[in-house]
Amino acid sequence: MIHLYDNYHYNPPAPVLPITIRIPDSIKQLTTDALVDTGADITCLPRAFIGTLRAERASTYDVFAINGVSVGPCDSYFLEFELAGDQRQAFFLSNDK
Amino acid sequence: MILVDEEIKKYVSSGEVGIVGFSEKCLQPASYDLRVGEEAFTVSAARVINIQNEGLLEIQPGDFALIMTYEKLRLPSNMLGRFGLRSVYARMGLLATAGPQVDPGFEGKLVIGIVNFSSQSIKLSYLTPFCSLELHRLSREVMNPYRGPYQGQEHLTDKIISTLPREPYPLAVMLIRQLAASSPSLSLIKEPKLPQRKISKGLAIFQREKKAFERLKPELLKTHRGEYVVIREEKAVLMGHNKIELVKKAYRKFGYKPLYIGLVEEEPEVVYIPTPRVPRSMT
Repeated sequence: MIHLYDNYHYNPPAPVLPITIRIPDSIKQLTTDALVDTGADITCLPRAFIGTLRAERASTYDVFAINGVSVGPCDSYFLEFELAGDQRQAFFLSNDK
Repeated sequence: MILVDEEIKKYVSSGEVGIVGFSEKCLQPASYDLRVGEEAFTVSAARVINIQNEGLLEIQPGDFALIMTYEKLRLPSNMLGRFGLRSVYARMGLLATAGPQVDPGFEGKLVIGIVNFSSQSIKLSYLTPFCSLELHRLSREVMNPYRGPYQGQEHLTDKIISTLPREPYPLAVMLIRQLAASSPSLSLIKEPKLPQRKISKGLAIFQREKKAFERLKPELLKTHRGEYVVIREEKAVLMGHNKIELVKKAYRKFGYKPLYIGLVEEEPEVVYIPTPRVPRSMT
């Protein structure tokens, strides 16, 4: 399946795919658009989604911005997701900074 | 003469200069980046903050903080150090206040005073490189190496803290007092209060488990270095090298309940966010 870059919400255009997220083995899920960055270390999620899913914190990462400035420790959540027909599990960061 | 990166490394390797906690990642072309250590004190919090346990040091606008470095230094009697704040923090509005130099013969952790002159709170996390130390080699050994009161310091003691002002937001309070003095109608202004945060039961348990992990880490380092460990009810209950497999196993065994998974290493897990991209609607 071919997905076109999103040139409406992003300038320059960015690769965006629909993603479905849920806590492990739960039926409660939500679907949104995800900005895909194949070079990223971690996946970030808006905090509002965490509240909707009632996800529990599982770990912490020290997060640095690309300029080396510390964003601080950010809590992470272990979640399942479906992206382009593929189902996986991963740690997601959520911190509205 | 200021030492360059290769010389700093050589002096540390030979033991002539002591930098306990030395990391090559902190070497700069002609300096060494000192990192945020465990202890700090802010006037607004009026207490010693354990940054490793609490995760973050927050310096309020106008606040004054004392930060102890992670690294413990030992300078020979023919070398002195000078340090300053990393420019990235200076540009944010922080100002480092310190004596003119680290004396030849000094041994201990450095305590660096920082004022936040910006209008926003600035956060520093444990082990963040925040100050750059230059090492100067002197023409000869000094006659009297440093033997002063801070020799061997490794903690923020009451003696160090006792000389600090006791009021929160010193700059803001001074300004309010001056305004109140010039206009009686402003005397109703109260000192600013810190917002009280309500935390959920899940977050409280997560924080408890995280603290337990930090408490257990010294022992875990002896037996499970490099592994992930699951902390539940303040005990290490599962260990393994694959974090995802470990968390799946933990949820299968205990259900989807709050817990903490930590990496058994001295330094915390670090990730870099490589893109500042945000949707147009957010700009």
